[in-house]
Amino acid sequence: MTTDTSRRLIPDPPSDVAAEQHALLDQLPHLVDALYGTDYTIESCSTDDYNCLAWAMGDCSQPWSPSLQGGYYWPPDLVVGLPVVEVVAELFRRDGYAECGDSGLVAGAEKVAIYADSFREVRHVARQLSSGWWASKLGDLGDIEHATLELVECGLYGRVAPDREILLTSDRENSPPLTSMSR
Amino acid sequence: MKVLDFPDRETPWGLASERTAGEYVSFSAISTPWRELEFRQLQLVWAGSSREAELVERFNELADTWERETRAESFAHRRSMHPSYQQIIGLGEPAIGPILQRMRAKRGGHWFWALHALTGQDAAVGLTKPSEARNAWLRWGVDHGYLTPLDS
Repeated sequence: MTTDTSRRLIPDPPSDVAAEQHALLDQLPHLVDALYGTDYTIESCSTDDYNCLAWAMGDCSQPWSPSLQGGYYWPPDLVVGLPVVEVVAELFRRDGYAECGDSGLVAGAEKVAIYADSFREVRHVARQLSSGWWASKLGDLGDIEHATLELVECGLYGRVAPDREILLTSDRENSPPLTSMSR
Repeated sequence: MKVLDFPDRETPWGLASERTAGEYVSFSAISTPWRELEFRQLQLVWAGSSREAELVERFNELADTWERETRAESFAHRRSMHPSYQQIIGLGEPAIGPILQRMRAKRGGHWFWALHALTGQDAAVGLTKPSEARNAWLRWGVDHGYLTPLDS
């Protein structure tokens, strides 16, 4: 295969970022019914540079997904295929997290919550901020902050089982609210 | 005045039976067997381009549905299991060009699973960023004749 880097392969980016933000606002209520009329804020534009699991792991440079194809990151020694709760929890354990069982804010500690369906397939991951709210990256859409874990529980993302799927680490401080972070 | 007994069907240049002697002067100037052969070839070209247009239209319908219904999915495998995505893979090799063209035009799209399935190759092996993987696949598309390089 020849790799002539002088050839332009992708057209220039669209200039109207504001239009994309409007599209995101328009789509969110249809995608996450639970957010209708509740407390949440949208904090970034759509991007597929990272996904919810990458965001929760503190990595906004690449999406974490147990895929067999290039384009995603997955630790090479972990099972590929379906991201089941046990495998994703193991990812966080390696990063110093342990099960904690409740979603309350703990000073000096950071919590993550794993959303799963009834077959224990992971559908979403959220990370707690220093405000006590939670931050979620919604697929290829933007980041949102939501007041409670339950607000994002829905058919698409499943639900959090409080006894096993909330993990805590004291090795890492909670991030500040997204509005004060630079992206 | 009809000069050839063409089937009365729509073609890109109008109803075949409505062509006039003047319009078919080039056909009339050559012998009948060759004239008939040339028309058959034209029919095949037309039928081929018509099928291609139908495939691209079908692909775009499926891709629009897939993008709309999976934008909020968290993981690649769930996007790839969507019925529209699976139907795109079912279109076979003719879907490779439209996938690459869409990926380039939209500067996005999780097409890596489909391209792997359709080509038996992974042009993005070892790459962990979608933008890098897309570039690798676009290069592959250029190198394999599915895409033309853009003017710089």
